[in-house]
Amino acid sequence: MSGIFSKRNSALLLLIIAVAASLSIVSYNYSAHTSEQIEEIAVHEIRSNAEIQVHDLSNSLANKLADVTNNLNIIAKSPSVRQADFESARTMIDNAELASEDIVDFYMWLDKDGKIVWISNINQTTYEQYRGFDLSYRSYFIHPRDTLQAYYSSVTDSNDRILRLYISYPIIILNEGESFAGVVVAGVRTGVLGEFLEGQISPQLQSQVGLLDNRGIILYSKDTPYTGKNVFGVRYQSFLSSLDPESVNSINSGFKAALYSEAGSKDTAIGDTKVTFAYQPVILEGQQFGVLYIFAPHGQATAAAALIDQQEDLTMLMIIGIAASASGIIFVIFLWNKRLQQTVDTRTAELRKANEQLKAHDRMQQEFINIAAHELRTPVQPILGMTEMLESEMPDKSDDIEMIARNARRLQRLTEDILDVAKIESKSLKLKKTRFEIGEVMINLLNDYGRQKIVNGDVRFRYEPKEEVTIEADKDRITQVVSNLLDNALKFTKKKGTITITTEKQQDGQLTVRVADEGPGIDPEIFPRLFTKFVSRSQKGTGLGLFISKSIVEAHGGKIWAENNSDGKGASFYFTLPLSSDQASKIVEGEKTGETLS
Amino acid sequence: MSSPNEPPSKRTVMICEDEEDILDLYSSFLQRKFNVITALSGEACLSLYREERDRGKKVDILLLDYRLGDMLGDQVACKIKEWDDTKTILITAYEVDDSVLVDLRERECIIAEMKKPVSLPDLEKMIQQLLT
Repeated sequence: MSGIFSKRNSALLLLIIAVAASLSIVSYNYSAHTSEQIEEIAVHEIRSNAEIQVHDLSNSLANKLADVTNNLNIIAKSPSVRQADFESARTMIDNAELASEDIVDFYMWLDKDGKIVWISNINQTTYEQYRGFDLSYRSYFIHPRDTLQAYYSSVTDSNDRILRLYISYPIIILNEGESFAGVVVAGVRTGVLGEFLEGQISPQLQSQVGLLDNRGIILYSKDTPYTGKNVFGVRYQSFLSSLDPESVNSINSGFKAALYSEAGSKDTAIGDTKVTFAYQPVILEGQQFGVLYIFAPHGQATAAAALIDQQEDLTMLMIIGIAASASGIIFVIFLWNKRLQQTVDTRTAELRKANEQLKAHDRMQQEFINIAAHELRTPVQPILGMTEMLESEMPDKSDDIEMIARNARRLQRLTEDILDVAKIESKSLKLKKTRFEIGEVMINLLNDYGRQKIVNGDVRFRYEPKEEVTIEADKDRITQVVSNLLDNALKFTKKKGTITITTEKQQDGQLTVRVADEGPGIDPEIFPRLFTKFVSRSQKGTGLGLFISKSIVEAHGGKIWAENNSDGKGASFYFTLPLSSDQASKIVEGEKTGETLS
Repeated sequence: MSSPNEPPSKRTVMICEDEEDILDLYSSFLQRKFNVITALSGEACLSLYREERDRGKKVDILLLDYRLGDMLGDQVACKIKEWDDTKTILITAYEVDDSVLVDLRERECIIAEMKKPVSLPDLEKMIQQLLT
């Protein structure tokens, strides 16, 4: 196992871990940054929505209250009220309530002394209880009486213990000047007002809405204990003191700004909950009626950020998982690689050993050939040498000596053939290639045959080359091939006939050499084995010549074959050799131009 | 091993061959025209060559077998090349690698090589050519 944790492998593992760690950090930072950005965008969205919501709510409330004020104005200025036509006025007041019952609790008519004349939609029994009831001490009577202007009360604890907001309008009789004739009042339950406001808020915002009058007194708040309290008063400030000072400042400064008719929003916190505090003045008939505010929690933004955080955790987990998997896979690969390396090492050692054995075998084989060559050639030397000496010293015994010499040369030929076969079979036959003209080989061989008086009787050689042909080959070995084929032809030509040698350049860049005789032709029995070892119909041959010739030709990249002549007289042996490159290119050029090479 | 007294006009051929029959054959044939010195081993060849040189005699041609009993012919040839510029013909029945022969020729340790069995007239012809 120690091999697995080599310096290189350890470095690779460390690199993977470092990459995983870097990816984790980058991913964490990116996720954190993204989370912050998304939260910021979400908060911005919540803030915008809160500002829009509080603005719309303010307008909606103002319109609603304006409708009520308008109803009061119509009632106060109606002839029936001015002329104290009770029945007509009562009907109109009842109808006004029906028209605005979603917000108005009741309409009430007070006479100039502040006593109840009529309360809308009240039954007779209750009416009798309240008829003439003196409400002249109420601000909603005093203020319009004294100013002859519409009046909007703060939250007021009514006689029935219900908190209401009152809007009152003076009844003025224009008769030689303006004379006060009473007040029409609309009672709006702060609870109903709150329900109206809550109903206007989009449920997705999950906001809390509140309403102050223009002095800062809470007209509506879900926290009912603070209704009727001033936001700058002790109780509410005591409530705010539980928050952090920054939040308190934000909320107070928001209230102050709104009371000075400014709209706006602030991000703050109530306890652990981040909220947007949006505020908007409510304007009625050009005057500030109060302040509408909402607290919009950042729950969705926080949830989105939390989701991003979850995603971030998941991403981290995935990166760590991938890194762990990668490390595991790398470990397995290292392990496998090590085993593979061991197998490769074993096989390499085996191959090296086999190679060395083969080399040793080759050396032994070469050594055997060398020794065989030495041992076979050496005895021939004295025999041949002595016959040569005797020929010159004993001319009268020339036939006998020639017999010895002939057999010694046969033995020499056999020796050389056996050595060649050994070289071919051990694949140690080496070629010494040179450029030469094939005609030289033919002429030299034919001269040798003539000089050695090998040709007897009427056997003739015919060689009439039409052109010089240069090849790149082992001259001695090609000479050996042609000599083998000529020997073969001579053996079967007997005492009369012509042996024809032709050389011809082929279009495919090959030289074809043909040796044709006029002998009996090739025996069908040996035809299939013609170029194998020890195949001969002649008593003189070793049966190795054609096998050696085939090997030499094929070592040059050529082919060798034989066929009986078509005229039924004799056989032809062919072999091909690649032409030298310049000769081959001349043929290609000739093909292109259509010229005939001379 | 040494040659008999010969007329001074004859050129000297030293033959080094570990096969006695072949040594006798070459010697018998060449004695007709040359002053012949024979050696049956590489050491004997070097020793005789040194003696001849010390006596102020020149060996004109050295016929050297490749595979001698005690050493290889190329060692003898190159040693003699260090002493003198005798023309050495390597005669071998052994399959000497071509690269070895090329190297010996390039270093001028030998001037020619012949493969056994050599034709005696051809051998004489080569010697005559080298001496002219």
